[in-house]
Amino acid sequence: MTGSPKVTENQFRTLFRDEYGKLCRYALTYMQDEQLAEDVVQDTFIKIWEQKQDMLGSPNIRFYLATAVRNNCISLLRKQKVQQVYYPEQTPEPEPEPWLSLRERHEALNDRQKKIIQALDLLPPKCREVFLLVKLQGFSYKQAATTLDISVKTVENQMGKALRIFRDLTALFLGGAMFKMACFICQLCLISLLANQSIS
Amino acid sequence: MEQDIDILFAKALGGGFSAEEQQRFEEWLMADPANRAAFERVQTLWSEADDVFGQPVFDTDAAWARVAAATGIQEQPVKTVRMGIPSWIKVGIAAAILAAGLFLYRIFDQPEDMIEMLAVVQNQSLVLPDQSQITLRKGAVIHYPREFKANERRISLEGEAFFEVTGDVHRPFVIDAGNAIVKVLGTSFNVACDKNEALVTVASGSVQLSDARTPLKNTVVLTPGKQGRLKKGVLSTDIVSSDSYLYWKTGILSFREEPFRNVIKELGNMSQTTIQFDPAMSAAQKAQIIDISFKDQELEEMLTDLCLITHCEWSREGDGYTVRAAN
Repeated sequence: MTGSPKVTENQFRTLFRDEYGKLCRYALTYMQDEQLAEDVVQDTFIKIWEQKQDMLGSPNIRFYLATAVRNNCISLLRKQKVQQVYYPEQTPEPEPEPWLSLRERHEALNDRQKKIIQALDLLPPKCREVFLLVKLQGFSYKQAATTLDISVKTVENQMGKALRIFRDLTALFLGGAMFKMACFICQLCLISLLANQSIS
Repeated sequence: MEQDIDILFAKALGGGFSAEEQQRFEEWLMADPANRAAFERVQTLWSEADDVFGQPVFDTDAAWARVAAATGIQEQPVKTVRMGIPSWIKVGIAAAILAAGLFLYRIFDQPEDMIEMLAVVQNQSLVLPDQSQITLRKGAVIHYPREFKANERRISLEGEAFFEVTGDVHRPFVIDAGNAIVKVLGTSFNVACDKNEALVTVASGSVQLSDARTPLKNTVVLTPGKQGRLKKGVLSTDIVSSDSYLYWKTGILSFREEPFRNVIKELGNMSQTTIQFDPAMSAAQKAQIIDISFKDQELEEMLTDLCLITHCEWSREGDGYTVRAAN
């Protein structure tokens, strides 16, 4: 499976160029800090080069990478929590779950996109994780299910819930009336409340 | 049925339809033009969301350079812009600046918009593009970009410097300090580094100190009054009891109710000179409590003052000093 060293290097380089930005954006949902997100992704690549060179040619490498990045983020966050490491000027104590809220500050986004983020952050954590793997990482349902150790059926349901948000948002943007907004938020709270109960 | 439609929507957009589901979804679309319109609206929003997930943009080239270095992969040489000035002119200019001023401002040989600052003859203060203030100790060098990137403020340091970093939660301030990486959001602190060791002392705020080779595993967060040290790959922390670590900058050294032996130890550390007690000195004499401040005094003057109040005397022994009880 492994080719010549030069071929392997080129595969590694191409993989890095293609996936780096996407993986950093994914890691950022967990780390909430761009530098830390980059550190995790770079470290993951280095480990793959050092320990898993034979996987570079495999069709599953992208899936393997994203899963490794996710696991590294979570174990780092857990470790930080144990060590009581904190960043006072930054986020509250980080939980190993992905958030999109950090992106709100990017000025390139319009109001509609900001609303999308706010809505997605109201989703239950598992649902958000599923959505990010499918939408951001382009995972198949089966891959997302394997990564998160849940059934494909659950992935389907969670994606359905995420899509419900999109459907409600289109209705909101279509109408745009204030009372609709209020209804929408109530609805979201209700959804996340119910979903949280059904998960735990 | 409602929930069912959401699941079908998700598959229509994210993939994963079975033949039966595909069929069912198409029937649903055909059933009512309103259905199709609803789906098309969601479809538009779905692709709009791509822009959300396409943010922020990371610097892949810079990251690759770091990973290539860590994995030992040879990279094609990077283009650097050089100014076409013959080296003898550079030497001449540098010598002229050196002779005339106390401070050397060098932009030659720097890739693109990097600025190199070097405090040649005395400590030197400067203001970075983000208004952060730095005092370089004599002999220290920093490199920083003419303009900081949107997502971080990164500089490199050799030697010692005191930093007062302006707060910017969204743009961490990162210092490459020898084998260590020092990261802050907005604080004041002192960094001393060479090839073997990095020493970071925090005056206000909090500072993250990491091993540059294993930033994930080896990291500490330092708070005011704490000192972090990275030496031979080992991170350790200590508490600083006085501001004497800033002696090089302020010229002030003050001791509040410290035992004599601690004062002597501190003077030795700070001046990088060996100062020892004569073996005949009694423990009680070394434990005398001292309360003293110095400002802009030479080491020997300070020793003289100390000996006066502790009934001791000092003498020069080779490169160092010995303190003994006065007759």
